[in-house]
Amino acid sequence: MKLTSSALRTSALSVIACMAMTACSGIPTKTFEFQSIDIREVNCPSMIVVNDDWDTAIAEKQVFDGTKMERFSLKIPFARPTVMVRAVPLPDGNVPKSRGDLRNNPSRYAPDQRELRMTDPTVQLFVFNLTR
Amino acid sequence: MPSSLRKSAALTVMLAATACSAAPLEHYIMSDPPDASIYVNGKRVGKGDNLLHQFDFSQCDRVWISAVHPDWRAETKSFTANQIRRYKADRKNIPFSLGR
Repeated sequence: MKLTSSALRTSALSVIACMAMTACSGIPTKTFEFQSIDIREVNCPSMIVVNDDWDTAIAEKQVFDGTKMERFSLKIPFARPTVMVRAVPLPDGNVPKSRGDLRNNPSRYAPDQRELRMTDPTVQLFVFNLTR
Repeated sequence: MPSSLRKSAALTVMLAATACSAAPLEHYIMSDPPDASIYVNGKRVGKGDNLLHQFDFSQCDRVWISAVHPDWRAETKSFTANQIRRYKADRKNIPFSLGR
């Protein structure tokens, strides 16, 4: 029993320590505003994928939809000096259920990507070329 | 040269450099084809036919420039203030050559 309560206490302390570390980790963030157009300069819906994290992009609906917004705002943590941001054109503007969903229903436009720094301009425009 | 004079000179150079980095930086953007639309930091600023643009580095240390044309492949590149100053010093426009 003594061992159990000790283990519980250790676990609780570990959880608190983890939470405190997360809160105080001080990973800097920056909010970017994304927009995407095609080569005709028409707004083109896209999903914004950061550091190849498709699960978060899909779960959090990280989508620029020009019919509903001027730009899509996204707060990005910078655990490293740069992050890779990819804009993936969405053929119908809907949030895909999975990455495979997009593979099965590809856009006529190719994705665009760039490495961003904290010190880059807030507004980032992606321009989609036709797939070759 | 006396040490105090050297320090003053160094300070003057540093102050001048600071003043220059805050000064507006103007230069020309040239695209091929020249009727491509030019976007700077997401804002359409004109056509790439020797377009004079004033770059603002007060909030960022790079600018992102895109050249877009319906019949050509769009191109986006980033530039630091120093890179643009180098183009200016070399009397060369900021080039965008779009492919098919």
